[in-house]
Amino acid sequence: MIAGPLLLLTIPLVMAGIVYVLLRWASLSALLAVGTALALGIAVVTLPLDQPVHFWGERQIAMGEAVTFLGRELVLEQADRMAMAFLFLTAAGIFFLAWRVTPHSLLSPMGLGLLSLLSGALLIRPLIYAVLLIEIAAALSIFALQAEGQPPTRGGLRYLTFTTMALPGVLVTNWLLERYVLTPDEVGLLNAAAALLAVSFALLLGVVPFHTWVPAVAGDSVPLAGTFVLTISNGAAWFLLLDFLETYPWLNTHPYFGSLFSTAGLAMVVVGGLLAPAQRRLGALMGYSALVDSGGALVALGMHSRLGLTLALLSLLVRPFGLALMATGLSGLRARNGDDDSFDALRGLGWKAPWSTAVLVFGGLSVAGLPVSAGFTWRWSLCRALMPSSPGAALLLLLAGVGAMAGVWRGLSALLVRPRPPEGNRFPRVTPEGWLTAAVAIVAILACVGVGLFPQVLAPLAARLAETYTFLAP
Amino acid sequence: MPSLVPVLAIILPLLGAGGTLGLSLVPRARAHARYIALMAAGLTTILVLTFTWMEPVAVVLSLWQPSLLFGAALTLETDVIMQPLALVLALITCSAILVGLGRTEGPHPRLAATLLALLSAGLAALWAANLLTMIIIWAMYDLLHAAGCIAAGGSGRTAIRSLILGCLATLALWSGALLAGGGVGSELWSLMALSGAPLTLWMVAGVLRLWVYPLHLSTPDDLEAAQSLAAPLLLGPIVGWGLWLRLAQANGGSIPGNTWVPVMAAVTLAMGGFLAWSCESPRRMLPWVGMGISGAVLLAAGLVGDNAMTVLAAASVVWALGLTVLFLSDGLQREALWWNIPPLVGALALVGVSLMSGFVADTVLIGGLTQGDSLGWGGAFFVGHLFLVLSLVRWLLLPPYSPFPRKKGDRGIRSVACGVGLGLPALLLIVAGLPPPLLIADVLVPSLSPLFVVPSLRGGLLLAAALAGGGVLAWQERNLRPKIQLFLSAAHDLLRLEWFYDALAGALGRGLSILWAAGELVGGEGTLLWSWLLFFLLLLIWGGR
Amino acid sequence: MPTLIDLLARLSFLAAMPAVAGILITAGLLVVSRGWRLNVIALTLQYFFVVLLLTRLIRPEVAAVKGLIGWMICMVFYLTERRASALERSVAAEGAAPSQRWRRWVMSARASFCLLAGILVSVAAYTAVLRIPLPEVPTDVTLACYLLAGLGLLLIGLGEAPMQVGLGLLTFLSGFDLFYVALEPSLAVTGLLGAVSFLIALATAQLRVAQVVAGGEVKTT
Repeated sequence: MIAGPLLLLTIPLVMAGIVYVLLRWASLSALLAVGTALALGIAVVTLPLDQPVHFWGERQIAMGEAVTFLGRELVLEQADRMAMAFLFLTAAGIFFLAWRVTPHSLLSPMGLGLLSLLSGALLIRPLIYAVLLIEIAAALSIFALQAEGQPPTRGGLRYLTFTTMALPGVLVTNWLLERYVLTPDEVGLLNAAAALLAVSFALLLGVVPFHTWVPAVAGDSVPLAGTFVLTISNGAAWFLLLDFLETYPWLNTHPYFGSLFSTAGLAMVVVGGLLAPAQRRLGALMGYSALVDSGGALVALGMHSRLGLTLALLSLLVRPFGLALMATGLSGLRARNGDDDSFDALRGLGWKAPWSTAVLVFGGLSVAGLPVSAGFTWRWSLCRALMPSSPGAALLLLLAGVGAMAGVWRGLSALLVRPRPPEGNRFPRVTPEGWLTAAVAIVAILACVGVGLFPQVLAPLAARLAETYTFLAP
Repeated sequence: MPSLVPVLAIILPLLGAGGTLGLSLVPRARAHARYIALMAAGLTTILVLTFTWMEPVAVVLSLWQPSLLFGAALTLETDVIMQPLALVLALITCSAILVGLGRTEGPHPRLAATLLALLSAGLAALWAANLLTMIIIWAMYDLLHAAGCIAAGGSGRTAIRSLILGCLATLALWSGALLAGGGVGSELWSLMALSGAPLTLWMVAGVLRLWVYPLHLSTPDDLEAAQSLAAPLLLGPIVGWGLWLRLAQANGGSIPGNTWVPVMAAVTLAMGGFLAWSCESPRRMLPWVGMGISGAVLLAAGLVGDNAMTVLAAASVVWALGLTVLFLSDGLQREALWWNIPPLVGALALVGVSLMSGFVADTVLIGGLTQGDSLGWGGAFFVGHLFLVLSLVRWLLLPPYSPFPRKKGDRGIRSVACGVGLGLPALLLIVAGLPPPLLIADVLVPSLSPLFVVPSLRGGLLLAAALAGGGVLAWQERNLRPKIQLFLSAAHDLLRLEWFYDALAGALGRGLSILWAAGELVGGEGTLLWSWLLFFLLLLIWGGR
Repeated sequence: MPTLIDLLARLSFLAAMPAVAGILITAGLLVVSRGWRLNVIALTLQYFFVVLLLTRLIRPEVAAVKGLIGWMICMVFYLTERRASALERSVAAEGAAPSQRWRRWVMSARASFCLLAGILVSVAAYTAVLRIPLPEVPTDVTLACYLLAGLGLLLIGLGEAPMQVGLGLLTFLSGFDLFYVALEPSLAVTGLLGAVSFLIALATAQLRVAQVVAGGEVKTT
């Protein structure tokens, strides 16, 4: 009988090696990567946990069976299923887009490897090992984030730096909590643990003032690899945070819980909303817009209710639509502009790369939380939920969304500058985008708009996922 | 299944758009793609026409669940007050395609497809039954409108401005919905209670949509009349008219904001007229004419009190049809004089000559202006109408950009296409003004008859003076304009306020540069040290509290 | 032939303040110097002193394994930098400006600043030992932990070159590792932390190669 967790860890690793070998055949390697991620994502939600499933003759797969790794248990629980499905299915979407815009990059093989590590991080108990696996994933991300032939990017190094600094806090917290079990009268241990966890997750999630890695990852790396980090790796960090809150209920009852999350979230919203329109490069704009979105999720969690948790999870589910679209557009524009995404350099490029521009605009709408996009559905419900208790926060979220979109408009106005007629033969030749790229762009835009019009595709999943966490009352 | 008919009216143009684009990819069939577009537009027009005799239908497009999260669903309702505008929108799209066929213009499949999609979005925006639906459809409309402007050869700058202002209008709508509280997003318009800050925000949204001065930046003044297909792009404010009708409906028949809305409307009327006349390129004056007429309609609705809904319903239709007829006819023809009837009808309707449906709005306007001390508004009316007459005469006397079909063999079919394309809107302008009203539904009819009264002597003199003055100046246009062209251009540039908004954008840009520099400082080299420094500072501040 | 463990046992007399002093000097060298040879040597010695201190907290065998991982990292850096400098020399030979060599025993302004900053951090570390002693570890080890963590962070914060950041991260992790082994002596955690260190070194090497290939720039926003 094959244990489910073992499949979820080994298959991506094995396929990562195969995809790496086949990388020169872009379509084949993309197909394998997408297929693997898609199959695992579907399997993790459809196969039952409580009974084995026959597979290939005598062989059986038992998804709910525990596995021991380095003396620690790996077990797939109900709450983890949807989280892992989110990781795998989002990765499938990113690999699909990468097939057209960054066909020969290391994103697909490294992405599969990272999926294996992040799956392990969600499955392993106790939780301290999860953060070590996330740290290893952060180090490996650099190989995907670094573009070939380009100078070393700051994004990967910063992401690794901040993740490394988050490591001690979580590891020491585990020891403090074990001490507390032995000496329950030392309440100071709990306070110290809470403080260390808060700082560690602030580093992992990019809370202000530890946010500078977010725009660096988005702006200075392979865009879709940056999206992978900001959605999937970041998503794993979010699920780890929820696991901590579920495992240690006293964290949830801490008097500063609500205010800390709300304040941290609002700080991200304000900083992102102010700095996004000021950016002069599309990549950094994407990063600050993602910061606003992430801040909104923290504000939702700070509502300290099941509704808030549902909204935070909904934000995780819809975030990949916006960021992946923006990254696809960014990749397309950079590829036609010598890897330069500054507004000055992009002047007039929108006429030569209309699909990349369109995808960028729709991605920007989603990340900014404006209609008509997937991001609008969760922003609408969050603002609606915040109005009775924190109208100021709702207003700030709206304004920050406008700020993020203002940056997109500035970029768009540069992209749509009418090019002057060429003088002689000095007009640079730009290869057209091709019908296949156009088809992929259309599919991606339709997916984003489709979820924006029919959020009932994702919203009930967020609600169901929220029900698996019991630390917040309904 | 009557409940699905509105959905069919939305889907049909989209299918037409898809078919047009698909056919245009096949080289041999590219020239025939516009027939698909024509068929889709024509069928949609017929379908919308049938709603006149059907009961209002509500359709839930998408059930946003769980309702605890969203509190609303995407719902359309084909109610009677929107019927005139919806029909006119479909008819205008159809006419534009017909005239394009008749003028032997190039295929332009992308523009045709965009306009069909825009028709879909426009109908959905007019039929939006609640705020959430309106917010979403407005956003789609703005994107399609911007895409249409680009496909029609307009500048990216205009397209982006229309996007920005449309987005701001949508945000005003959204903010109002938030401030109004929990269930407003899902509440039907007829059940809403309007008051306070939410109402103000919704009126701001309406003002932004109508290109009201000084928020007129999204006026597409770079659209040339060379492409008849571009006609629907002039009708961006139509969704704004839909909102104002909704607000009037929810406010018991009158438009809210009686203190500042008429003031802005009067200024818009005056400025629109002047900007139209002072426009250096006569082929770009129609959007300014539309802006002026919008001001007149809004002013009339603001002065009439409880009959505002009727005035808005009638006058917005005249606005749309009149502008379209002028745009499509492209000046008076020297040969084949019968082609000049539609543009003359359009021009006369816009200035409010009797027996045209535009008469309704002007009568109300004059009636309102002559009551009490309304010198300011009377002055605005006089100035606005004076310049509007001048501009319309200037437009009518333009040499046509593309003559009507002359080739033997295809003259018959193309002439019929042009004739139908121009004739239907013109006919509607005449017929709709005659009782019993064709377009204005039973709900609004009882209010219509008091409006068909002869205005007072003072009012009549005001209108006559404006018309006469405009006529005289138009007669002297050829002598006068060369002498004052420089002044007119300077005044046009000054009053257009481009310099103001550029300065504002520049100031904003400089402010943002400071933020950018701060962000680069914290996010540049030494970011780690900066981060920890800021963290400890925050800790000290928080600990100190 | 004596094993590594025997060697460590013989040098155990250094596993106190001398090791801490050694850590201070080596970490300080990493902060001040930009020469790759000196940095690799300093890192190697740093790992040696860290291992010496580790022998007081955990089994010598485990400390030896940590040391081996550290020296392998130094080997990776050495090979990478050797290759990088060979590539840079070949570019310089083609006509680019020759790299500056030390001709006089005078510190640059940058190095002086780094030295002063290093001294400041060291003083702060010493103060921290007095105010916030770490649980389960002796005072001298606490001082070593704070020195490594502080100087490691300073090294990361002072620049963006991949090797510099990589050295800073490894220094920081060494300091944390020195403390954490006293709290959690689990072999699994030891292994994972070792894997983390090694992967950081690999990632740093990859970025250093990318830097050389791209012509010596670091991409900025």
